[in-house]
Amino acid sequence: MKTIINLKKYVSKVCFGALALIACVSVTSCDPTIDALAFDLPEANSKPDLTPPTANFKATVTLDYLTYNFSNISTSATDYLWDYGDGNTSTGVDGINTFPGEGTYKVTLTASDKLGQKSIFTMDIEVVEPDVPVILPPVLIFPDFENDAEKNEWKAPFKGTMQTTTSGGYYEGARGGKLPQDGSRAGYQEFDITPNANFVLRFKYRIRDREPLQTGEMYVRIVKPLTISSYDLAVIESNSIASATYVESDTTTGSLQDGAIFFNSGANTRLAILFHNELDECYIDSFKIEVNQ
Amino acid sequence: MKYLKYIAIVLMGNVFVSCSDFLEPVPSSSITTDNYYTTAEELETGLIGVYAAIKGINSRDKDENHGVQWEFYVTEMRTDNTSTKSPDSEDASDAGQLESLDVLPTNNFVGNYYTSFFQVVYRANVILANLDVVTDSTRAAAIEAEAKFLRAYAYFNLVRLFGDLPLIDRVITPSETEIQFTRVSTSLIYDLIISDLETAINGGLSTTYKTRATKAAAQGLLAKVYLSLDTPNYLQAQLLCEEIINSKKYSLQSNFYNVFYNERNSEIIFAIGYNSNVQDNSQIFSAEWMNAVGNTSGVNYATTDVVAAIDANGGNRKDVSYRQDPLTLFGGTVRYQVAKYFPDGATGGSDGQTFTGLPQLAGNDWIVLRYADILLMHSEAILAGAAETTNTNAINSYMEVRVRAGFDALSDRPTKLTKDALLLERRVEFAFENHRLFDLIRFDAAQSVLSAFATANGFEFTSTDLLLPIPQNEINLSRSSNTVMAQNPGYN
Repeated sequence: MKTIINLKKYVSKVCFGALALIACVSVTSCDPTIDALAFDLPEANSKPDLTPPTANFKATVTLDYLTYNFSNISTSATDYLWDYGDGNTSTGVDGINTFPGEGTYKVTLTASDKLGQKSIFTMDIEVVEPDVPVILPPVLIFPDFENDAEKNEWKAPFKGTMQTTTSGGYYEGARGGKLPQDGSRAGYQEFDITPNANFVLRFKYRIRDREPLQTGEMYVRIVKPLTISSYDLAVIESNSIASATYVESDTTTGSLQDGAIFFNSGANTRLAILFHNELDECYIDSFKIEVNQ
Repeated sequence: MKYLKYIAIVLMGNVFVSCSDFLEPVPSSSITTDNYYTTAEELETGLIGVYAAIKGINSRDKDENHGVQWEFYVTEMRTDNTSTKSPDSEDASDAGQLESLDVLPTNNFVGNYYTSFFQVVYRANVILANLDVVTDSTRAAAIEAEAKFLRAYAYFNLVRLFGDLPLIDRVITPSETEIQFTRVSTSLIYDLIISDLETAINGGLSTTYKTRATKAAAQGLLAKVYLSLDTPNYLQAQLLCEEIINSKKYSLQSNFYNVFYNERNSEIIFAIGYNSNVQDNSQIFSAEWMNAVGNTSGVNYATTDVVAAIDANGGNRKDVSYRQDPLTLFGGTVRYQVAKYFPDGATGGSDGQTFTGLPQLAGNDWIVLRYADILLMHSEAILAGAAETTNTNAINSYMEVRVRAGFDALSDRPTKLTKDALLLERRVEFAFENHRLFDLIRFDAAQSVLSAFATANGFEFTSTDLLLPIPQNEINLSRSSNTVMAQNPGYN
């Protein structure tokens, strides 16, 4: 019997102890001031966004001046919003937009990542209709030889200075250019020119039969700028991009003739007119270069 | 014991004598870059070594530099011209990444090209650093010109593929990490390229070998550089092309086939030379492009897109440019192989895999610059970025290439040459010659053409795909220094 009472005492002691422990635990477990037992709150222990997005783009105009390609060069971003400043928007990685007309548009790219970090880049796009390239004819200095001193603008470095004339029927206006029959003189003038365009050089010329036994010839050329200091036909010919040769005949000695040389300026920004003669006296006047599109 | 002090004196004497050079001989069996170059002849052998770096090693080992042999992966395969035999937008292999425009910085072909071509830069710099051993100033100028041509060639390819790059214009030591890993802007890289090519043009280069630098090669390359600048210098490009044209030293082959199978012909201005059946001097790309004897997945196969373009606009260039893969003749999807570089001209018989020699040891030269390119660059320079031109000279140069392809000089002559027509002509003339990517970029057509091509094939194109990623290996190496290399936009 005694053992049964002892057993009861023992069991009730253990039960009480367990109860006290449960009560104790249930009281303390609800106490948030104990750090070890606190719940992890969302965002706790998370790292800051070490690589936030950086928005950036490049814009290139297409052959249609209103349409631009936008190349996205942002970093660390996943989502994009393009605002083209004309009411159009898009969300692709790269952008393309056709603007309604000329003007300045504020194009904005908002780049964001999945943490909601944003970066904004803005660029002003100036939409301007490109000028149709206007080709201007080269400007010649004293192309009409109206005054004797004007011949000095036509000095060739490798021959004597040309002459001018007032012989009736051999010029237009007040005076004209002249090369004596000994071939010792020439006319040469450089000018600036638009590359790769078509032009025509127009002028008047006439040959005079001073030497009955010789057949005179006159050469008019468009040449690349020459740097030779003495006459060298091979160099002149290799630098000619167009030329015309006029031979003494009943026609060329009869009256002032119209001369024309058609040429393409090629890969040159500077060219020159060169005229020289052989075996008889030659006259030239009224140079003009026209655009020939 | 009285001899002891004499013995000590003799021993002490030995100590002094032993400090002579006899115990530190110059190793006669080892050659290093520090002691090798002592004469002009030796420097010339080093110069040939620069070409060897471009040529690359004939193998499939991804750890070896393959130079220009693997160039098609990073150029042609990234365009609408070629793909693997079975294009797959999900293919994450190295080749698959390139064809689907989804390249990772760890891509082996990208890393291989980067190290290969910086190896060219390094070897050229070694030559330039040892120029003082050449006593003859004319010869020194020619060697300098050749080394600078090669450095410019390597940098021009690198800058177009990777954008901003480290500027290495001398031999640097491993500790100079700042130079090694600092990317400078493309405009500074182009400054070096232009000055190197100008030196090459004026350096009195020999014209003996088409597989080595010549004046015309430097002029042609510089013309292309001028056309490739952000602000192109069209007039200079035109002048350079005209110098080559007016020199009358080069002409188109009347038969298009001979351009590729008659080596060093009149049309070739610069090619990388290979020899057949010699492991060290041959190339493997010819075999790689035929999957019966090359890469099992079949690489650099012509797309149906380029086949259609050649059929419609290529004239008689069709059969020389591509053929149907014989392995698909007996069933399976019809696929097309490049026909311009069959191993030594051997087509592999009716099944495309029967060869007398080893197709993996092919001797076909790799053409870098040929006269047709000069003619079409001439037209491009005159067009000068405009949509069209009526200029006679531009149309003449364009028509010279077209007439060789079988078109009529009069009835097929356009009244105006458009930018689109010129780009198309370049595509069918230079298909599979690694021009397409650079042409698309230069003509400002890459974004529209490649995004349309990507959409049609289930790939995804963004404008940042036009530059390759800096190889991850380089970025990892840079992390251990103070200068961390920046990756290109669009890559992580």
